[in-house]
Amino acid sequence: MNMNLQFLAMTIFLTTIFFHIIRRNSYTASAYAVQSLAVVLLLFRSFLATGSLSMLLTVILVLAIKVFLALHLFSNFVKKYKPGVSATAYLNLPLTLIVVAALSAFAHSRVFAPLAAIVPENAALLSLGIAGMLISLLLMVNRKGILSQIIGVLSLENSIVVFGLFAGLEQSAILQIGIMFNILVWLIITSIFSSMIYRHFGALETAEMTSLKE
Amino acid sequence: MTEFFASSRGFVVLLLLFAIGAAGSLLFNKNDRQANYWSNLFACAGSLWGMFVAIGALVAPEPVAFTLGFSPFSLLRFSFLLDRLAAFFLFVISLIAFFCSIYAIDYVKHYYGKYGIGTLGFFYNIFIAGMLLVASAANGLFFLVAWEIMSVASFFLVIHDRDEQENIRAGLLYLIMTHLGTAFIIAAFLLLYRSTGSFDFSAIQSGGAAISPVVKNAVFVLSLIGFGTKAGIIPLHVWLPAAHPAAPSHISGLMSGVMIKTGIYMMIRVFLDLLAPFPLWWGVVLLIAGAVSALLGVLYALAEHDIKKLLAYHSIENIGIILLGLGSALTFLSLQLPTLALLGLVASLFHTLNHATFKSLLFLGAGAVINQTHTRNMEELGGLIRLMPQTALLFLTGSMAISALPPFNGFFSEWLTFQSLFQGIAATDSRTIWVFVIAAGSLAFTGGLALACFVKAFGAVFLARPRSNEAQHAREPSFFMLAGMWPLAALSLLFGIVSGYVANILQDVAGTLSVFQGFPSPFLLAETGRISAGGFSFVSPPVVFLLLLIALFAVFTAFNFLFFKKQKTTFGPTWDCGADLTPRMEITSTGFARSIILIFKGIMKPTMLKSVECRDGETRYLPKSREIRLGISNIYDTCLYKPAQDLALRFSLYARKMQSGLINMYILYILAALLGALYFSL
Amino acid sequence: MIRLLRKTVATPSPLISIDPSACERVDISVVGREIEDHVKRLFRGSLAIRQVDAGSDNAAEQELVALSNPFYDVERFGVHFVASPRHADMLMATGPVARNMAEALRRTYAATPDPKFVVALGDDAIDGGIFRGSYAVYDAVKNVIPVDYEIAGDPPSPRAILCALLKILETIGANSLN
Repeated sequence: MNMNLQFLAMTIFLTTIFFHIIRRNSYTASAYAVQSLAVVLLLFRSFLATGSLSMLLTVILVLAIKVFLALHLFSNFVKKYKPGVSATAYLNLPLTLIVVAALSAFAHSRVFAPLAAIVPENAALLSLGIAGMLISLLLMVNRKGILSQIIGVLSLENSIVVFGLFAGLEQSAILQIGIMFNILVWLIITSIFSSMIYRHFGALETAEMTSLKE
Repeated sequence: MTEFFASSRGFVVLLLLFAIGAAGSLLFNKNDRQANYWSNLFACAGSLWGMFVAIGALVAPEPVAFTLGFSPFSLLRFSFLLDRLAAFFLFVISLIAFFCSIYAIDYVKHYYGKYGIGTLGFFYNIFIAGMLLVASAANGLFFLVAWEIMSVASFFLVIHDRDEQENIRAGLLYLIMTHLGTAFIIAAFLLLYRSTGSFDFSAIQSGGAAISPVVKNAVFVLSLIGFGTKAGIIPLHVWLPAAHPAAPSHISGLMSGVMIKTGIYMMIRVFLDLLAPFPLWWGVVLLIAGAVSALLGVLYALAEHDIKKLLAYHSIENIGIILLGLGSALTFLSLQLPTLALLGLVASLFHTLNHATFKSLLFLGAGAVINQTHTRNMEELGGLIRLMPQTALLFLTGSMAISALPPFNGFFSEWLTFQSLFQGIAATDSRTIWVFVIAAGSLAFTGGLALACFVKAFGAVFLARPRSNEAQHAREPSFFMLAGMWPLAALSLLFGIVSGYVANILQDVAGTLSVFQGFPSPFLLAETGRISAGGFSFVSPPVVFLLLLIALFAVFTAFNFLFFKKQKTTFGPTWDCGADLTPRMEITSTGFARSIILIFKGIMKPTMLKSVECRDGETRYLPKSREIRLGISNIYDTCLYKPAQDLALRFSLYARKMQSGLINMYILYILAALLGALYFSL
Repeated sequence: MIRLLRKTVATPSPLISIDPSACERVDISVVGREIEDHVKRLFRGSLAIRQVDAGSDNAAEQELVALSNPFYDVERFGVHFVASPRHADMLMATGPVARNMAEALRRTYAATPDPKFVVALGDDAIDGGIFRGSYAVYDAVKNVIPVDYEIAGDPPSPRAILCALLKILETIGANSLN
């Protein structure tokens, strides 16, 4: 197993946990950029291994969209609307960490052994990927702020990419590019929608939106 | 010649006739007249062809089986089986559809310019074709498709008169109830598929031994509820009294005369043909269901003053009588008495045929009355015998037949039902004898009450004086309406007189079922038109008819030439004590039935609402007008459907709590579901 | 023709004349017995009378009611007052026939089954009595329906009615013998 690889996977996993800990939205956006950078590096490694040009194209696209465009959009977003300087959560920090720990343990448990056994040498990394997905989902559940939700979805997507890479599920470049395009559109739409919602209702917290239910 | 009719080609022609009728009437939607003639003439032609197909299949030595086209799904096959049972039901459906279509030619004219005749004709043809498909399908999935065609087409026919809110509500009730039934039927067929691996009836039949008793019982209960909903067994009958008044009368005649019989057909098919052998309690359950439906059906009919609702309740009663025959057949089969079972089945088939003829006649007659008077309320009719003598005679014929008065056909099929019940009392032991005793008692009671009910119906509608302005201006219906009713009345009499021969044919029909194979000696002997139930008893319909004719003649002559010889007859007005006679002095149908209802008030729960309006609002000493409303409380709504609805609502409210509207909550559900799914699948 | 004429001449007056003093003297039960004999013979034991009040001043009714009291008690002789002309053998019409009652009288007459006898009771019913000539009355029952017998008196006493009834029954008996 490569130390490099382990380091990148750890970075992604830790940023996922970091999302739970930090409260300032600007930090969250930066942490997402770091996580995406790690994903880019992972993809770049796979490009070096395979040397396919389309992979290179994927790497460049991912870099452009996930790292630069997303960072730009988020920082603009934070500056413009200040959706709560610090995001609020349903669970307090210790409880959140306990749940995160439980989810990680669950991801490493026997239940996921068959999944981890797809590529036996990467078993630990695969479990890490699964834990990343679960923790990202938890982020969406736990956080009230809309930015955290968006980051949660994107981080979930990152974890899936990592899992796919380590599991050796070779995704075709076309698919990757398609996903990137998807994310691009998604990012634009969410930012537009959130700004519209903010303008209309003056809030970007999900808890506030329950009043719109009926 | 008969081979051609009862073949795949003959059947395709049959379906084509209805298809052309349906498509053409849609094409002529703009022109009411053309659409009317096109759709009904093709329905006539199709039904006539259907009768030939049925007769061809009846006389064919072997059951006719064929598959049409090919289907994209392996389990669905458009396969048909025209054995004698199916052929018999095809015949009944075609026969009634033929006369209803003739009647419809003039009947639907009053819809001209009001509602589209094109859609009516379209659904009418589809509806008849659907019923024919139901009776001839030999594949479970194909059957369900046909069943659904029949149900949905009839739903659209029920709501044809769609300007009245009440009709729409009735149609929706019908739609819900029929789909409730269909859900049970689907479950039954899926269970059969699980056990036998096929939806084909033949495969289910041959694989019947492999079905475990638990599954068999489940299938029995599911299909009893499913087909019972269509047939109108109490307490699944609630749609019948709502849907029949809403539908145009020739549709009511078809629905009540034959559509509800498809439920009976499928019960015979599934219970006797596919699932035999079966435990004893199936037959007992059917007997009890039949007894309850017969008795309660006629009681509710008695309380009704809407003429079509009254007829609808009588359909429930007659379905009960048919079920008594069928139930005794099942009971005898599980007691290893196949000859008696044959008797019971013949009784039920015969009553099916008879009820189809006289009930459609009654509905058509009621339609003629309603068409002229624009009211279904019997309290506003009366005196029509002078204005519509032919209709009155036809309605009287139908009433006598349904009240089981000889020499009409209703008497002989009820006689056969009685015989099979008596045989049950005589031949079974103490485990089942009580059921037969109760069933026979209830049937006897039902017969008496049915007579009372039709005395009420005929008296209130046709006798005395008109109770409303509309009833004073009624005229005899036009040619085709009468032409549709007269043959039905003639058939009611004819099937009575030749019931010996009819019973013989029906014995052949029932005898071809696999459960009766290998029993050479039929219990029921019919020779020279005489029906004889195994030496236990016999009745000779032609002799009964002749005796009645002679008695009638003798009484007439005696009165005219012996007793009244010297007396002069003068006609004068009714003595009215100096007052003027008004229709309000006549006995009302409510008043006629009230005493009987009060006897049964434990079951019927009659209600009485009194309200007094006073001139002096506060002190209430000087009443201005009093209003009394008599009715029957709907115990099925309050005791069965309302609690079920409340339960569903409460569950829905509970389920609604899950819908917090909070996006985090939904994602939590996703997370939980994901974890759960992963946990259980990995 | 001659027979008809002779019959016309010979047709006795419908007025039943009785001798009042003779009637005063005779015992009611004796009259009653004779009535009973006739009723038994002619009406099989029961004579049903329907009384019609055609605008009477109620005097005649009082006397007719008295017939049913315990003193006279005509029911024991087989004479009944019935509630419907459908049951009646005999109509007893009282009063000068007020215009509003003429139609009722006609209908009652029509509703009475044949054979029937119509008796006009009291002077008002015979010729209008003290009301004669009034614009409100038809003056006599016979102007409205055919009358067979008339019992005079304003009003006739119960005893007189009984005697007259006996006379009527005798006449009917004599006619039926012919």
